Amino acid sequence: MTTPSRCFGALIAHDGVCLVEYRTERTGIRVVHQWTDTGRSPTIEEALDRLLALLAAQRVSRAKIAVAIEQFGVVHHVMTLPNAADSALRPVIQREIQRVFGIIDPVVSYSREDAPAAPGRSPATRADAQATPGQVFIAAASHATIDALGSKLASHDVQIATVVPKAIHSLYEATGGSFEPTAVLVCLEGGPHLVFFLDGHLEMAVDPPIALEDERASVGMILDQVERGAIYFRQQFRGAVATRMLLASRATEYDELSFALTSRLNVRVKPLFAGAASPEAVLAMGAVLETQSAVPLDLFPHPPTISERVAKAFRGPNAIMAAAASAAVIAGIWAATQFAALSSVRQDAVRLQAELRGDVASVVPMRQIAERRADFDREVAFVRDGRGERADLTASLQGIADQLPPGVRFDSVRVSRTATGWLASIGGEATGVTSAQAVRNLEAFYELVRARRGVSAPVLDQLDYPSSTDADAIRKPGAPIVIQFHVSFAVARPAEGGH
Amino acid sequence: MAITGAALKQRFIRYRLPSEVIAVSLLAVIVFLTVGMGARRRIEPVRTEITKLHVALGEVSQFRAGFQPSAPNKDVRMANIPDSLSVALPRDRRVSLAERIAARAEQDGLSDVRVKFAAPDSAAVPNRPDLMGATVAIADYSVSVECTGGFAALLSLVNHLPPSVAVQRLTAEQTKNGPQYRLILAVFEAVGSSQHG
Repeated sequence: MTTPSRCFGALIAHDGVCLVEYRTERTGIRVVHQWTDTGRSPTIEEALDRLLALLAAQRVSRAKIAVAIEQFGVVHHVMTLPNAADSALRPVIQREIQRVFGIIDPVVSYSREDAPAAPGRSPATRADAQATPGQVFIAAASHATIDALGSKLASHDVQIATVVPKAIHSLYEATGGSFEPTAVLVCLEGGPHLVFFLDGHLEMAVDPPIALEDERASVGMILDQVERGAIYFRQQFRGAVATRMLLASRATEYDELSFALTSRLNVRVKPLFAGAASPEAVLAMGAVLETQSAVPLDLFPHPPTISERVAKAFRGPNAIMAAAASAAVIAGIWAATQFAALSSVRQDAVRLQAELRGDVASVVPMRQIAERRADFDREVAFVRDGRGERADLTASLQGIADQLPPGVRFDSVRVSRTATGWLASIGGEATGVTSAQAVRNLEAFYELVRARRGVSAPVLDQLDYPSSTDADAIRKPGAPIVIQFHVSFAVARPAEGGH
Repeated sequence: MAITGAALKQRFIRYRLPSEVIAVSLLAVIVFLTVGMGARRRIEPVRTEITKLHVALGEVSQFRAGFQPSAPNKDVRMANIPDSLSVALPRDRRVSLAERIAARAEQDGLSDVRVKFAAPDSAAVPNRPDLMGATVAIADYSVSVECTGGFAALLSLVNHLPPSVAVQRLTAEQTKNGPQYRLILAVFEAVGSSQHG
């Protein structure tokens, strides 16, 4: 179980470090403890070491802490600037800080808040707010100071690192933020800090005089400082006079200071922060309150958030780099997808091939049976066709032989297969008592052949009488006339099932 | 504004990491696109093959569904057709074929029967039976049958020739010794299988 982190406010200055522990309760913030190290710190590193030592003494390893910084080269400034984007305002502010304070390449933080509408005035419209110049409160420091803050407090959860006037501003707002012209005087060990508010808006901050280093300011010196500030405030803001003063000072000098301020400047004096807290502790709490401001002024180099890192990664050369890397990643994903698809379809193909092999193997006996049946049917058809072909041929020849006219006989019969059927030729003799009778008999034979079913293109190739020598030798008076003939014809073959 | 080589070098040094990352990324994009396109091209033929395999599987299923088994002894009977009914014979059975033809001729009343093997005849070749279980070819020899006797007996022989032969040529000549007949028969030969039919 993790214990909730403890919350602190702190003020670090040359002449001391003040640490305040607080708790946030339903009714507000309650100060629990406060510790002060009054040792002098020439550099901010030493002051931060003292702060870390105070935290370590409380056995705090990671504190939630808000810090107000006095001196150490941390400066503040108020400018009147038009409402514009940060990219336009920041260079102007940096040049102004460099000109006024002589800090080369300063680290700048600024806050701009719309002035609350004073009683009797209508609130500014959005368009007015954009067009009207407004007060911009600026804090700045050198890179060395900011780096020291970042490195020394890296192990803690730093909420804010702000300047003293802005902490006073938050304290003022915590008192109700009255529109009455008000001066806030915080008497620190290093001198009085004086801040003027007009219409509830921080208008002017006066730092302690430099001559006060290493000595505590007396009441008279504080009065002089306040008087000079009041005069400057009156001059700057058209005769404005602070009629109220909020005072934070040591308890031992509060009454004396309050009386002196009332009698000399004719102002109503009230405590800035009720209770027994020291002015340093009050300012530390001001830093805590600043964290709750709508527009906090923060100099601490917070590590960039994820969204800031992403935004930075997509700017300038980084944007091209990110785009190229993204394209590579997308191309890689696409290529991987294609490979996955290829692998998937290949697996499908292999699976289907195996399935088909199995199926084919399982139907091999059936296929063999089916083929055997088909072959059997074809064989039967082939045998039937062959028998039909032979029967047609023999029927034709038998028919011709059986119906031979009288006086006609065959000497030869030749039948040969052709592509479409049969080619037949018959040679023989036709005999008659007379030549006419012999020819008549031959004609009867020819007609018989032509009339046969399936017979086509009958041709009488030869019609001749035996040679005279033979005839004379054979022929006797009254012997019949003999004609030798040769007839050829085609017999069509019925359609078959083979090929 | 002209950009000099020195300025380019300066920029490269300043943006060295982004430059290297961009170069590597572009190279990776090219490689990934090339590899991806190659894979994509190879997908289509495989898909076509898958389609064909699906069709083949469908045909097999259809065949199996449509197949009807026959009576137990019907297939056995089909597988054991005697040579006398076979439409094709293996070459080593040609002598028995000749013997069967001679016996049939004598049975039909023909005499002086002489059966010989001869060169293929020049007449048109008969149509071959078209079978799936065996390849049937016209044998590179023919069977010649010479005999004497009646014409009707010759025609009877023609009608009773085995199915594995086909008449190519028939000749009948009247000689002094009586009619002489000659039949030239083409033989259907089963190639590469001893299976009947």
